[in-house]
Order: sequence, then C-alpha cells, then structure tokens
Amino acid sequence: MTHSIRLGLALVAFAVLPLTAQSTGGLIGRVVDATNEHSVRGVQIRLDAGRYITTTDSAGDYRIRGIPVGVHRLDVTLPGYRPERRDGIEVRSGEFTRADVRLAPLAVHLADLRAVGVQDPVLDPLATATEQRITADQLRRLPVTNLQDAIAMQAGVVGESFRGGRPGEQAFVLDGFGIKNQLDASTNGSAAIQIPPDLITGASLITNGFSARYGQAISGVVDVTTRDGGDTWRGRAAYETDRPLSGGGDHGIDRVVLQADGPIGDKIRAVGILDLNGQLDGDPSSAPPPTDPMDPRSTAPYPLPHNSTETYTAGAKFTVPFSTRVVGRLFGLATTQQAYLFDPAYKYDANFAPGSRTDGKLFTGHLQLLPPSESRRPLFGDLRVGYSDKAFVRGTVAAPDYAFGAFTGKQLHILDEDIAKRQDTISTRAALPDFGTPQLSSNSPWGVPAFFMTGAASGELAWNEFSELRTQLDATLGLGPHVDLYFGGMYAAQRVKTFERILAYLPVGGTIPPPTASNFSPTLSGAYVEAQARAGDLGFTAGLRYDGFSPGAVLANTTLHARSTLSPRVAVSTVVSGATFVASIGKFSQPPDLQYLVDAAFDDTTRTGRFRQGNPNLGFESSMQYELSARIRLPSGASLKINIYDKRLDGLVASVPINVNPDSSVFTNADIGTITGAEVIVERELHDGWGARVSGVVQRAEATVSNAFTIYDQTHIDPNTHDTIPASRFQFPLDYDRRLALIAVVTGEISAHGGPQVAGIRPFGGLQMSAVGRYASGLPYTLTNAAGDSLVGPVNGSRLPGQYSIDALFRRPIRIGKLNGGLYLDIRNLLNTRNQISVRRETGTPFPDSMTLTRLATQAYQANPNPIPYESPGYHRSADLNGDGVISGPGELLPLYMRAAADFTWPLFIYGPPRLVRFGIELLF
Amino acid sequence: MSGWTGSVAMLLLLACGHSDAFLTPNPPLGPLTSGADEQLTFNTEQDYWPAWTEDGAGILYAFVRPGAVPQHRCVGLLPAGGGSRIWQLCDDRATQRDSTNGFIAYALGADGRLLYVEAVAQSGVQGTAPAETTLWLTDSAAPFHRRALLTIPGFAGTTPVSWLADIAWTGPNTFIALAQDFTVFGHCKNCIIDDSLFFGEAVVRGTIGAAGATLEAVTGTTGATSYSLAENGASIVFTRRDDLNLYKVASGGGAESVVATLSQQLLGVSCEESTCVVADDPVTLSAATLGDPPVIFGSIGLGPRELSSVSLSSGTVQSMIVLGSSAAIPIVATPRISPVTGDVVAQVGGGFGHLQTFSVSGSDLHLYQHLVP
Repeated sequence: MTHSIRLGLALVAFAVLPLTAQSTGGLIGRVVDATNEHSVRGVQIRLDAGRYITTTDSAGDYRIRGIPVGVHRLDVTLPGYRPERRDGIEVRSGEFTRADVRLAPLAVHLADLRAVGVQDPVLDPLATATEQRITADQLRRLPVTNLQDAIAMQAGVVGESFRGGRPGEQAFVLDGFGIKNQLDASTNGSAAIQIPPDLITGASLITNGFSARYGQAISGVVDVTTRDGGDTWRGRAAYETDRPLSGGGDHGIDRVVLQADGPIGDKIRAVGILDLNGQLDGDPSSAPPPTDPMDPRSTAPYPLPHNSTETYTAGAKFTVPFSTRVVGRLFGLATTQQAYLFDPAYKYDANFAPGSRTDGKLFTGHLQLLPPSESRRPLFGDLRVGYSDKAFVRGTVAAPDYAFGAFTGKQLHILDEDIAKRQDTISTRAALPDFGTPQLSSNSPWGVPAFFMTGAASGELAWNEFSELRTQLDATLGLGPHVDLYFGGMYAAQRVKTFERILAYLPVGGTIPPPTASNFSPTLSGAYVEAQARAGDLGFTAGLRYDGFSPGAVLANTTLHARSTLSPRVAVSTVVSGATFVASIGKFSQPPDLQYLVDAAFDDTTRTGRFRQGNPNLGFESSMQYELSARIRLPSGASLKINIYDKRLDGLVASVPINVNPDSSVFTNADIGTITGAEVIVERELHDGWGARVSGVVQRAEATVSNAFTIYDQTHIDPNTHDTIPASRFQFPLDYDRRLALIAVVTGEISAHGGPQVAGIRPFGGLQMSAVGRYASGLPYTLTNAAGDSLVGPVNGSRLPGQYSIDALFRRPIRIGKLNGGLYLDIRNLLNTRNQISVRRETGTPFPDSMTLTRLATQAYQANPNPIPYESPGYHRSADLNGDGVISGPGELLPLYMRAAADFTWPLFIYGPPRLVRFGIELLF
Repeated sequence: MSGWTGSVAMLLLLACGHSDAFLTPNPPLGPLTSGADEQLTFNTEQDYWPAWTEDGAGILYAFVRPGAVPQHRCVGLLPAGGGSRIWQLCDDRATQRDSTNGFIAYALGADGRLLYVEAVAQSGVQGTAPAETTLWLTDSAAPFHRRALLTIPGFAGTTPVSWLADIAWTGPNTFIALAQDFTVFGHCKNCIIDDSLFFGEAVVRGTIGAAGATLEAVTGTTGATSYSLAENGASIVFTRRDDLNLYKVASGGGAESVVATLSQQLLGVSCEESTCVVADDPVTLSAATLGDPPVIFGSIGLGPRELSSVSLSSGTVQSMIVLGSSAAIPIVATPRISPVTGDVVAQVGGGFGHLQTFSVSGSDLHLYQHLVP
C-alpha cells in the first residue's frame, strides 16, 4: 500500500534563485528509516524512470538539480527496504521541492510516507527577486485566454507597463531563451508570437531584483516554461464560443485548441499545439448606444464593423535525451494575427478602413548538459540557439471574406505591400497609382458629406521586419550545498527593415512627409556572472552583467560605435522572527527600441508633427532600483508579502525639437523618471476547497514624457536676454501612473461527490470556480483648450474615474463515453461595468461640449453647403422641413451636420470592453 | 418579382450591400409625388438625358452633383416609378482629379452588362473639347473593370463622329446610337464663356467584336439630332435641327420619309410600336455676326412646351402634355417611353442639346404615367 505525499501548503517547496535557467527546478530531501528515524545512506533516488538518478549521502540527504518544471515520478529504493514510488511530485521553476521519505524495512509493515517540511518557500532567504508565479493550474482555473491576461492579474501591472515603466521595458524568457521585439516593443508589444496557455507549465513575472542573467529589460521579466511531452499520449481538444448569445452578447468569438503530447519511440517526447482564435468584434467597446434614433447603432451597438481579429498559432516541441547527461530540445512556434481595424472615419464605408497582419516565428534548439549523479561540484550547462522573426504590415485591405466567424482562412493582403518590402523611397515619393483619393461620404444616416470618408482608404502603408539569430550559453556551478555560481553570455545578430508612407495618394511635399525606410543589422551581446550564498538564515546575491549594443551598418552617413554598459546587482536577505527581509539594489539596462534609430513618419493625432528624425547614436536606457521586501507566513498558513520600491529611470528616449517646427524633432535619450510604490500581497493557496490572493499596490510614477514620440521641450528662450535656458528636470505623472490598484482572486472547487443531488446526479460535483475582482484608480490626463494646442493646467494634472470589474470562470467536469472532458463558462466583466479608460481632453468628459459640436458642424457645413435632392440616397424626409424635395439652406442642413458631428465624436473607445461571455467544451484524452 | 429583372435587381442587391447595416443607413424612398406628372428628381444642378434600362425596370440619367469639384457628370439609376437613386457611377478616381469626366451615353442590359461613353476634359480650361472620349463595355458590378471598344473622334464609315449619344442595346453584341459632331463657339466676341453646339450626323449601328466596336451609319439619317427605334425595330424615326418634320427610315437604311410636320422645334422623339412621343418647344436657333468669329445662339420664345403624340400610321399629331406657354415655363426635351408600361420620362427645364454647362435654372426628370397606351 502506498500513500501519497501530502504536499500541504507547498511546505515542501522553497525557492532559491533559478538553478539553471528559469525552466527548471530541483528536488531535495532526506531519507530516514521509518522504524528509528535514522538517516539512511546510499538510498537510490530515481526520478522519471531513471532520467535523473542520485543517492543519499551520509546524512541521508539527496539533491537533484535541473529538473524540468512539471509533475514527476519519484522512486526510492534500497535493498532491504520496501521500495516506494510517488507520482505527482511537482517541481516549480526556480524552486527546490522537498520530498523526505521514510523507508520501511521489508520486515516492517509500511508506515505512512509523509513529507516533512523543513523550509517554507516564503521564508527562504535566497529568494531575493520580486516574483509572482502563475502555474499551469491557475491558467486553467482562472478566466484568462492567454498569458497576457494572467500577467494582467499580477500586482503592479497596467497593460504592458510593469511597475510604472513604459511599455516595452520588459523581456520574455521562454524555456530559458531570451526573446524581445527589439524593434518596436514600446509601441507594438513585446513579441509577435503568442504562447498558448495549454503549452505552459508555469510562468512568473519578475518586477525587480531579477538575476544578472537577464538583460534587455528595466521593468520586468516574464519567464515562461513550456511543457515537455509525457510518457503516454494525452491531449486536449476544446472549442469555445459566444455565438449562441443573441444581440449584444455575440461578439463573434470562436476558438479552437488542439493539444497533444506523448512519446515517439522509447525516448523522444513530443508536444504539439494548434490554437485558432477569431473574434468578429476584435476590440469591443462598452460605449453607451447612441441616443439619436437615426443612428443604426442606437438599437444595435455591437459589433463594430470592420473590427475583427483572427489569430493562428501552431507549435511543436521535441525532447530528445541523448544520454543520461545530455538532453536536447527543439522548439518551434509560429503565430499569424490578422486584423481588420475599425476606423471611425470609415464607419459607414467600413471596407475602406485599414487592416494589419503580424507574422511571428520562433525556432530554438537547446542542448542541456547535466552533471554526473554523484558529482560534488555539479556543473550544469545550457547551450541555446534560436531564430526569431517578426513581420508587420498595415494599410489598405479589401473587404473581408469570412469563411467561418472571424476566420477568413486566407492571408490578409495589404495593398502595395510588395512596394513596401522593396523599400523604394524614390518612386514612392509620387502618389502611388493604386491608392484612390478618399472623399467625404454621404453614406451616413445624415446624408451630408462631413466627417465620414469613402471612396478610398487613408493612404497609409507601413511595413517592418525584425529578425534575430541568438546564441546563448548559461552555466551553473554548484560550489557546495549553499553556494551556487552562475555565468554565461549571449550574442545576437539582428536585422531590421522598415518602410513607412502616409497619405500615399498624394505626392510628397508641403505637409506630406517623405517615405522612410531603413535596413540595418544591429548586434547585441551580453555576459554575466552571479553568485548566491547562504549562511544559516542569511542570504547573499551579487551579480554583474555586461551588455553591448551596436546599431550595425552605416546610418545617415554617421560612423557608429558600439556602446556598452555594466549593471551590478546586489541583494541581502535574512530571516528574523519568522519573517524574511530582503534588501536589493540593482542597475538594469536595455538598448532602446531600434525604431528610434531611424526616421519615422506617422499620422499625427496629437498635434506633435508627423515626422521624427531617427538617431543612430542612441544609448542605453537604464534604471536603478531599490527595494525592501518582507515575507511572512501567517499562522493560518497564508502568506503575506510587502514590497517597497523606488526606481530611478534615466536615458529614456524622447523627441526633442531642433527648431520650432515639430516635424524637426529627433529621438534622443532625454527623459528621466521616478517611480515609488508599495505592494501588499496576501495569498492562501488552494486547499480544502478554496484559495485566495489579494494584492494592493500604491504607486507614483513620474517622468517628463510618457513615450518617445512625445515632444520633450524643457528648453526655453528668455524673451529679454534671448538666452537658452534649460529648465529643471520637472517630472509629471506618466500616462500609466495608476496610484492605487486592488486585485482579489478567489478560487474554489467542490469535490466530485459534493453539492446537492438531483435525480441521482450531482450537478455541481467537481465544479471549479474562480473569480477575479479588480479596482484601479484612474489614469492621469492633461486638459487642453478646444483646439488641442494649449494646455489648461499641469501636465497629466487630471484623473480619470476609477475602474472596477469582475471576471469569473466555472468549469464542470463531464464524461463522454470513455473520455473525460469539461464544460466551462467564462465571463469577463461580469457586471458589464462601463469603465472609462480615456477622455476628451478639452472637456475632461467622454463627450464634446455643445460649443465643440457647433464649431465642427458649422465648419463642415461651410465647406459643403450643397443641397441634398430627394433622389439622393442621403435624403430623408424628416430633414426636409418645407417638403419641397430638397434639403437646402442652413435651416435644413445645419441640423444634419450637428447630428453628424455628434455621431463622429461619439466616445467609442473611451470605454473599455463590455461583458464578454463564452461557452466552452473540452475533451481530455 | 414582376417588373424587376436582371440588371435592376442586381443593382438593388448591390445598393443594399451585405449584412453591414451601415452601408445603406437610409432605406430607399418611393416617389415623392404622384399623379400624371410626377417629378422624379429635385437636383439643383442638371439632371438630363434619361434612358430606360433594357428591361424597363429603371431609368438611367446623367446628373451633376451640387457643389462637386470638379463637376463630373455622373450617371444614376432610378427605380421605374421614381424614388431614391439606387445606383450611381461617378468617376472620382484619384487620377481624374484634374479633369472633368462625363458619362454622356449609357445603356444597361438586363444581365447587368453596361455600355457607356465617358468624355474626359481638362478642368478649368475654357474652350477645349474633351481630351478623351471612349466607348466602354463593362459590368455594372465593377464599372471600372472595363474594356475600351472605341475612341472618338472617329468615323462611322465616311461619317465623322466626335460625339455619341442616346446609346441602346439592340442585341447581345450590337447597339444603336446617335452620332454627332460638335464645335465650341465663343458665346460672344469678348465672352470668356464658350458654348458647345452639336450638329447631328447620323444614326449609327454598332457591332462589338474581338477588336472593339465598329460603327456604321444608317443611310437616310444624315443630320439626325434625336432618334428612336419604332414598329418593333423595323424602322427608325428621327428629327433634325431647325426642321419641324419628323422623319422615318427603314431600320436598315434607305430613303427617309416625312411622318408628320409639327409647328415647333423638335427636341427629342421616342417611339413604341407605331406611336411616337415628341417634345416640341418654341426654340429657335439663329446665326448672327456679332463679331469675329461668328457665333450661333439660340433663344426660347413664347409657346407651348409640350409632349405630343404622333401616329406613324396616320401621321396624326396630338398634344398630350402641355407644361405651359409663358417664358417662365421650362422647356421639355428628350422624352423616353418605357418599354413595359407606356410611361414617359422626360427632361424638364434647363437648356437643350447634349452638352450643358450652365446651371442657372437646372433641369429635372419628370414621369408622365400611362401616357402611351
């Protein structure tokens, strides 16, 4: 008879900084004789049918490192003793799981096999990073569609901003391999590939104190571990949708997930996944329906036209153990995301609105060297080589041809994308013949040619491609039971190609900027060394990282030099009175987005010009981070974490005008920032049917500008002396400065035999439930005058109202024939809260004031005062006040222009998404 | 779906768009007025040159959009009984921003095939003829995916042709049209405004082949300024400028004969079997030497502006619709009899001829219901 090891409140696991890279953990324990509690030496410890083998030392202790994250099988044998086997040993990324064993001599009846927790992971002094973990179980239990949804539940996260940093200041680590969209992460997201949750065994968000192993990040690291194939074939097929809902409940969601993993032959393990996600209302808004009865959205506000997204992700992974010490892994992941983008100007001629396509690929090879099982100074080595590619294009598209839901099943083609890929900036100075001229449309309910466009698209054509070949070597040397040394390096050869043209139906000249293009090959390099030591309850971590960056090629007839930086990191921790205190200081650096090295042309909506000069001499952006943390295990078994931090950002990219023309601005490392905050996290892991996690963050994030395209204009000319006066470096709240954020996550489950019984079945038996509640204080904004070119009050001196929402997921296991499965109901924004996420800056409200509407309408009428005859499609009787068959004159036309102005300025994207409900069915095999 | 076939039904589908409600936010309207004289259009600019579709389910016509720059001449399609325009074609392509484009003749087949003549003139330059005039064959669903059949000026045999008007399908690959010649005259010696004046050349028959279209003048129709097929296609009835006679010739050509003589200038004829409707108005053309070069100008006098019926068998002329006789009453021109119902659509108001550039009074289309039994 065997008994399960009670893992309890994760007392068996405690954290140290990652052993090899962040894709593995470890296992330690002590074997004692069950009859007398004496340590037993020489016991064979085998994991996963002998993939990892070691023996206990004279103290009965054993230690295994470099175990892939996931669930494993432990076998404990010694002649003369009854062998023991345990399934379900969970190893977590960067942690040692403890599994003590009491062996019963053959002559003695087996006693319980139970774990003896020695070290609480919450209290481990070697856990100096500020880390929040997401397990595969949580990804399954919580209402999340992708990893980004799960990351958004962590303390300190506002969209892609981590702890007040700009978007794009984070890096991804996938199975120990660094990934970053170095081209334009700050504007277009960190990575083009999407990692399906079904492929993930664990993830963590590290917002401070991250190891010297990590570069290319100053705000955080998202570390993801994917699963290896199992010893038997298993998989999951799922389909979820909201199509059965009527009216506004149907946003055209369809998702299919197919995942399988298992053995190929005796040794190879494989994983494959296909994740298809379509949504007709790809960017839904909870904006109130229009009140004008003539507006078609007044009765049917959803979905918005030309607003769909379709994402195709496919991945595969092969694990090949070449020997007991050498393991190889091959991984490939590809994502294509196509979107038809809603443009309010093309609301009534939606087929002229733009579209975009992003293609991402990642292929990695990993060779892992494991030390001999009896090694006293084990050396782990990881050699990784990977190629990633991201291609993005946006511009004019043909009308969508949907095959099923939001899926077209075809590649979205952008008009003249071949011209963009040729990067021809000479011939494209002329008006491109394929581009028509957009005109004012009379297809709106108002019939007047105002605000809404038709006839042709807006003339934008943007394309870029970023590819990288990276080699990464990491090593871990165990110098004893309490000292580990980490070292390694990386080198990446990158390639950047860009092309941008706006208003392509017009020739360059006047206010029409020239096309921009770039083609260069930057390189990145990095090296690090870090040591971690523990002496009793004291832990020390010290690391040093070198980063190098070279733009590559010749840009703007400038001789470019490589630049480099050193980033030291130190942390000290100790356990005092049952609490662990950690103090850390670290410098973190990242190269700037490569998009800032080259010229940029863009459609200006912020009145800051349409052109920026690239600067190939940009240097590193950096931050100094100081943090004090306290972690306490509460008597109830829950954990309490308190983090207080201060970040000083420097060298952030901003736009600095060279003269008074905003189009003369150039990117430079001009901005600074200061972020201070405190986090409190209370967590009760799931046991006895429920678990909870409550986090609260108070934070203040300030800088001079919120993104690189914002004009940094701190220099003034004295009107009297005409001297140039650099102003003091005054900082303002950033656009993503959220002062207060509260998140509560509650999970629960009913046992298979729990709940009421109805007609012989228990409808709630096995039901899993989770709910996520959020409250966040409002983000800042700047009030302007009606024209939008003068500030009214301080920069970001006003605040949006706070936001709150509740998400929920219910999952009920089912059985269909011989297959297990489940039905689930996923509800986002359960209360259908209308959260205001933006504002009109001239009013501070979602709506324009009557003066603005009148001004817009009058200007439009004066530009087109022409009558509308009866036979015109734009005519309607209610506007023909004198019934003469013609809508003419200001008395009849101006009201129509007013209604058109109200329609055009309706606050669609000032509000967040509405309630989204999806039903799912899954089969597990 | 009686009365609605092929082309118009297809265009209705096009007009209705697809599931996106925003493409046609306003439901199409029926006729505004009713009665014997129903006004179909209310444009403050010119609406003119009406033509029934081959199946009689709709009315094509040319119009100028108020305030449009440049002032392209568009072609639109109205339902047979009037109401909202259900289809239109304007050449607003980016390459045409520096020119004025006009659809001067058009024919829509029951299967959606569209024949049209587009004239392109440089914008803002007075006194010049269109730089390009082309006869195109296309489909109404994609009117700019087209095939050029013929460019003019050209010849129909030995007959010079610089303008085509009143085109109509006569078979799958054949058509009939009015060939004209035009010149540009100064409105007066020192005027900056020029007039275009048309001289009828002949009725021409066209054949579409692999290499394009060829024209052949119908003998006996020299000088025709308007025409109509009659007697189930067996004959052609036509008018001439400054000629009060209504003529007839066999459809294959030959010697003309006078059907009837009216008392006023004939500004258009349309026939259905043996009954014709003519627009006759008190319009005179005269030549005067007010300077060098000489100019030709016309005037509208007092007298009934009317639609009259003419019997081809007896030559009897009968006044059917009289708009009025005073100077304030607009003229009526280009009547067209529906091939299905006997309704007559005509252009009321504005100037006359086939190239109007002024919009002082505007012209609209009117429908006279059941005028022809």
